[in-house]
Amino acid sequence: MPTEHRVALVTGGATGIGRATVRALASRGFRVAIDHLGKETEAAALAESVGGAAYEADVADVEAVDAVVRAVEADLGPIEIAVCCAGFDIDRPLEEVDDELWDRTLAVLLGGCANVMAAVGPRMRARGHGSIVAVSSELALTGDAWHVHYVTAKAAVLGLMRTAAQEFGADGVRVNAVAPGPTDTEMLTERWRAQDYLDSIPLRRAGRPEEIAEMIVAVAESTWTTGQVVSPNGGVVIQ
Amino acid sequence: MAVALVTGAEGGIGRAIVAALTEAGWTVAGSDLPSTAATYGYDLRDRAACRALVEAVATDHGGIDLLVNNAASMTVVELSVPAMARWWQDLEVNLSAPFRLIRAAVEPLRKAGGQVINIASVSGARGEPGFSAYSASKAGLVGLTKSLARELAPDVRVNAVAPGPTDTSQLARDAEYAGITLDELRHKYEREMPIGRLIRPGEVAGLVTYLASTTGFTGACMHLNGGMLMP
Repeated sequence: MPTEHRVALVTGGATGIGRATVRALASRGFRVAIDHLGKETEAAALAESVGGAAYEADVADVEAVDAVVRAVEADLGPIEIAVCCAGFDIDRPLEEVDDELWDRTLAVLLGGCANVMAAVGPRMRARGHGSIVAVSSELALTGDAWHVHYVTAKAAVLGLMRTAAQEFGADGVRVNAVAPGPTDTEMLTERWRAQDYLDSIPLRRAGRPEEIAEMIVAVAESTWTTGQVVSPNGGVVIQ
Repeated sequence: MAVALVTGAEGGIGRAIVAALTEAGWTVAGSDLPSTAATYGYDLRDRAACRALVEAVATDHGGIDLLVNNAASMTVVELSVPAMARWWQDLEVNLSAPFRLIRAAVEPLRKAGGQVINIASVSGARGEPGFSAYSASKAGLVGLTKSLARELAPDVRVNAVAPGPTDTSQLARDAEYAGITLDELRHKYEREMPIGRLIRPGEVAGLVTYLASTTGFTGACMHLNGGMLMP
């Protein structure tokens, strides 16, 4: 098993903030495992360009996540950093959020983080070190109309992270959350692109995925940081 | 008379809320598991039960002015692959049921210019070792509160109350998880809480009743924890 390099896993790694995070980690010398769902072409191209490897698993399925973690550790080596980035976003008013959308949103956004923690956490704890970053959202801090499923799941991630940080801390494993503001990726919906909205942001623009990725990596590597919510958001939330 | 639906009405905090709201002049419809003495016996893990409960209360009392999402489950569950099958239990009761109840009640609540009060927890805001699902559910409930406060305004106000350790029978289970006696757990909490004692169920009920009587709050999460966490 190759051990001269450090290994990271990024879920939702083929696109958006995940892809930028893969690149940021690779530029620091990590071999990066890119987990994706149905984005084979993008994941393969990215893996090739950064010298990483692509894997496919639905993060909502803990067995599938566990299988990927096992494969990554066999192929690349022990995972030192795991970034839970997989997600999707649909605006919908309360009355139209059906049980299927509610369940799937919780399963992917919250379950996606919990499943990674469940699969990789015990391995990291056994090794005595590791770092997990869950990607939440600035909306978890502010709330957002027509978005209750998404915001609820992103807020739940924070409670999960705070507990995992306490459970894993004694074994040298850190767990944090990054809660990005509106970021210019494929996932950013129209209403966040309107000029009126962008003008209301203190920094007057959406974030770039690279800016979020830099924060994710910085938090992941910060050795005295655990249980924290760090929110790069252009000043959308000031507290 | 204004009608309040209170879930988890037979638990320690639930009983206090029912008593305080009744004392304040509300007509209170209390719900809890079918195995309890609650007037409305519904298991909120059963998805159809949420809508059925709301319809039963609205029919019996002609509407709903206040929904208090108080029913909760608190399960010890570790973050490991084999444990994840059990991980979602708390989420179902503490987060998905409130969502389904509010969705089912939104029409009568809008009509009444009503209010939702969600009972969150200090655990969502600071984490709770052994209870990652519970903590996630309670943190999620605050996100839900803020989102629906924005979405349902100005017709319906949505707030949360986040109690710290409260003097109810749940404490015994927490002590069991921690592997200490009930007295040891009480002392531990008392040291963590500047007021030097546990929260009383009546204090949670008092805050719920105050919120129910006032009109300026929405999207608020009111922390009632004796200074344990000062967010």
